[in-house]
Amino acid sequence: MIFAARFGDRETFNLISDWRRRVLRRSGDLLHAWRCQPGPNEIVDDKNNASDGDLLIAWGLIAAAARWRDPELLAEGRALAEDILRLLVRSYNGRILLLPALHGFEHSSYVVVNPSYYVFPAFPILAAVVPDPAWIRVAAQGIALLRAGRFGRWQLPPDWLAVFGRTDPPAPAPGYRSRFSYDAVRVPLYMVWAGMFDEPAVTATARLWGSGDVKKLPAWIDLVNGQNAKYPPPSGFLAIGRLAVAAGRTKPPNGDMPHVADAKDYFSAALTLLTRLARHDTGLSA
Amino acid sequence: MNGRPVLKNTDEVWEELYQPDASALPPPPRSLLARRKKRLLAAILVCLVVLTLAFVGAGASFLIATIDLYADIQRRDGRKLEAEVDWPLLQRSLRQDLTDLAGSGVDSSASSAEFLNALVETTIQGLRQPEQLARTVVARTRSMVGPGALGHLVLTDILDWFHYQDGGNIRIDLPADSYAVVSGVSLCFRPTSYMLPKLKLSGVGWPEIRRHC
Repeated sequence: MIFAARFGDRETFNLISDWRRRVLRRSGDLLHAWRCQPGPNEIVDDKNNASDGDLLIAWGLIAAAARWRDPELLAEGRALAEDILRLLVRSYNGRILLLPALHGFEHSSYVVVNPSYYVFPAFPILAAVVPDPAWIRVAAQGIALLRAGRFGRWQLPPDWLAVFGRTDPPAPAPGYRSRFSYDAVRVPLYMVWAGMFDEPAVTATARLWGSGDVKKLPAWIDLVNGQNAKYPPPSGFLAIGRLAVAAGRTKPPNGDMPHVADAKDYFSAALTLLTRLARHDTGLSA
Repeated sequence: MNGRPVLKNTDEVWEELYQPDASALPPPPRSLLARRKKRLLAAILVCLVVLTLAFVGAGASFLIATIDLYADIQRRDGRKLEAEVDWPLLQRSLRQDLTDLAGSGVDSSASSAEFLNALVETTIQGLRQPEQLARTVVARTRSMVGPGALGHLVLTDILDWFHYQDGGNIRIDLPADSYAVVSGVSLCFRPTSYMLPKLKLSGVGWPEIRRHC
């Protein structure tokens, strides 16, 4: 939806948004189910949401409303943003946290967050139509959390992070792999897109991706035991790596930014396109 | 006497009827006391019933007020709310929040400060539009009374944004009824002594607010 709005493709936007509204939107609130099994029946087998998905949908709706001056899209985006604040933001031991989803991440002694679900560039867009200072707290405390929640040789954020008491440091979440991989790779993307070039999570990623031939880097790194994937990262990861290096200015970008056509799957293609938009918006493409 | 009853005059009849044998009556003082006790007991019972009904009624009226709030807010959509906020104070307050938060990080970062300051500005610009301010206040109020995540941040958090000083820095002018429901719900959740000084009430009196609690 963000891409369609960005490139002025109203027809595709409507197609995606109508499907999203018809299939993914939950009853009882305006959030969206995170998973749908493709096929003729389009079965939503888990009605829990994913907070990054809802942030991106709200962003897409608001961007589309601005592009096509559509008050209905604006109203929908605004209402979704309000529900994100209402349902997904928690105060836990003095911290304001963005839950990864409505259900399943709050435990008796800790809360699990997903650092990559902090879609920082979305916050100003949502705050413009739902001007609630809670966005500022979510963003500021998210940044603080990402500064503290980095581990391993490269000091990278994990895919899933456990937040304990106010004074206890966060840790890789119990029950999850302690990896910098398919989720956490988006942390530098969103931070750079929001202009936070010198945040530790970005510079750490830039050090990793700028440390040698990126094509020889592993797809994931375990931040606790130091093990690495035996296979290379997909092209979408490489795109983010190049963006982080350019933002960190540890060294000039080595090689071209991957193209969407290089991607072998949807996720990688989406990452590449997002990265290209981020690069354009931040002036790093110059 | 042929067995025929002696016809008594009216006075005698009345005397018999209304001055019965004194022995058949309980002693006057005790009788009076008992009747008073009964009345007292009945009065207590009535009071208890009335009080019970009052409590139940109060609970019910609160629920009704809450339901009214939803209906009222949805109908009005907050459009009639106008607010005067001390913007420099709000700005300083939000920036102070950021300064406080920065202490919890590893080190300061110029780019993150820039991002957050821009976010503050965006938020303030949004709040400067009365309609958006109204929506935000109403949305927060809804999240407070509902089962939502921000419920525990309650309306006091909204008031904190405005960074009142002795209740003088914010004035929300609303039509009396909608104001009463919005503030009334907050008052139901928080001690009035805590809440009231933080709002400069305008156009509505205590009775209207209390009515909704």
